[in-house]
Amino acid sequence: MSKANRIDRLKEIIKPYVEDADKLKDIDESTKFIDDLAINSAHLVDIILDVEDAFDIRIENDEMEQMLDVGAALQIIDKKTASS
Amino acid sequence: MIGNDVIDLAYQVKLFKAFKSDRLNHKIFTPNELARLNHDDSLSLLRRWTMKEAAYKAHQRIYQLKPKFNPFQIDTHLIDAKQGTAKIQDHNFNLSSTTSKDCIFSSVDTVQHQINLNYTSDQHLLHQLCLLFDTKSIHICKDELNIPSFYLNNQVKPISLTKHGKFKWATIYSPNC
Repeated sequence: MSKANRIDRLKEIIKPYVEDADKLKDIDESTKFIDDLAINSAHLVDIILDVEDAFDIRIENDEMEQMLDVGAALQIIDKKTASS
Repeated sequence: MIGNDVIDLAYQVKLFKAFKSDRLNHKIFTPNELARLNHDDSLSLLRRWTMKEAAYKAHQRIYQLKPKFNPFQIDTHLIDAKQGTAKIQDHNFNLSSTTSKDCIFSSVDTVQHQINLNYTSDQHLLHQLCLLFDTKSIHICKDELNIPSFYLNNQVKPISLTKHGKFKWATIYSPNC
């Protein structure tokens, strides 16, 4: 799966948690979930669980700590899918 | 140091997954909290969440830390329906919570008197701040760590902001402090 496809898949996962859909238009690796997309931190847990299910991976707590932007999420997904 | 957090219960019911799966619980709660899970109702669990977030904001501001997502490292203790504590590393915070039928709001208790402002828009918040501080110009900025402050004349003052669903709250120190 290409990086663009993985970002699109991630975008679908986070869409229900973004109140202003316009914020999703210019999403890229530098996009921060809380600061840029105004996602409430409570929903970061939802997103992490949804990512686990969508990519069939398990994200450890020390990895979750850093999962605050699209780039970090993609790195974790890449690492986990490569090792599975 | 100030720190606050609100959860809109209507919005939360729709989007936040129930605290029923071990997978979720181990990402949110400390071992102490996990041992108490069966004694907590849903509102208490959500209250613990707001306490964690409020304490995290205060702790991050005190130590000027990079943002991270580590609710499982923040240990909360509920003293009664309003008062509680949160421990992050060696730092203990006392917190007050208000639970209504619509929302749960928690803030870190401070020695200095604080004011919690309920606002509907950024403009509305600025208007309230201008009235409180008897000035015509206030602006709010976030620093490189995403910690917000407001600027009054040449002074930088801390402000904690939280938004969820239809609720928006700001916490500041009283103008007399």
